[in-house]
Amino acid sequence: MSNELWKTAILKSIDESYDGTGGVYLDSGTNPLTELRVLTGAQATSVLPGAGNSVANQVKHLLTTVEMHRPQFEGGEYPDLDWGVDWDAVSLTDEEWADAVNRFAATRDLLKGWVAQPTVAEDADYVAAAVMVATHLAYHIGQIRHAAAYAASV
Amino acid sequence: MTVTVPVSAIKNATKTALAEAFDTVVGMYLDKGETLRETLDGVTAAQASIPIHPGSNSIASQVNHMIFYFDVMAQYMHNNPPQERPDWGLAWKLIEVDEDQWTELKRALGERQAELFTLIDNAPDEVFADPDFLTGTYGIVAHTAFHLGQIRHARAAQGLG
Repeated sequence: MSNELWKTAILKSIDESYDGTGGVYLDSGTNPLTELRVLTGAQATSVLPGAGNSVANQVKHLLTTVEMHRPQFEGGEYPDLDWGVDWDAVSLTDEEWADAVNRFAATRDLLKGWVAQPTVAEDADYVAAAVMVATHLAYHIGQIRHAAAYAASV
Repeated sequence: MTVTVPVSAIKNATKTALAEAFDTVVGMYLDKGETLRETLDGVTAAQASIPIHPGSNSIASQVNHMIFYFDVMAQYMHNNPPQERPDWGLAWKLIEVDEDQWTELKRALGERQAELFTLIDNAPDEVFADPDFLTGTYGIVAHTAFHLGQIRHARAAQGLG
């Protein structure tokens, strides 16, 4: 099967996790980035009672995960990441939150570039890594949309 | 030169991602203890019936929606698409469940896993050359992960970890 054909499905899913376009798994009209951008810093860092983390924590975790994916596609050593830090309570100004959202938005092209690269297409590990990138994103978009609905009401 | 990817690699990655969502963590995107089975088994019918927000859906609604979605997608995978547009709102109407209904929902969800794996295994390689089939098959993975994320967050919001 054409590698390009297969990658299209994964790339569509990645797009969808950012702006809702792609028609892969979200309801029509859903736009995760827009939902993040309308939050204030205070809302984004508000912790849903019981859940123990905020929208800002989820976004921070996704930014950290990018560094874990990097060696899967670019080679090199896996970084020694402190995953726990992502979930520590955080306080952000509106500007800091806007910057975090912009950095998250920028990961879209990075992830798509990794998946789209023509090399190692016949390597099953590469296929699994591409699925891992898109699926991990979808999983946290689910959590983010739930947390964002709460945050918007704060 | 056209670069090709083996269908077997796609099938394996798809099944691994789905299995991770359902019951077998291999570290693709979940931590141990976060599968659907483990997530739902610790939830009572009463907890599953609590609306996530006033007037919205519940964990039971999410599970019912996932089952509905799997059944619609299975029709496409059988090359027998629904004759009429599916009424997606129908599954969301279920909010509250009793213990029997909750047990049945969890059983039905687990049953869909086996059905999906059989469908993927039995799909001829040439079918995977259809972009719609490919997107739809991966869509099942992403959709499952998305709703697992929502369910886990809803569960945590009830203080269930």
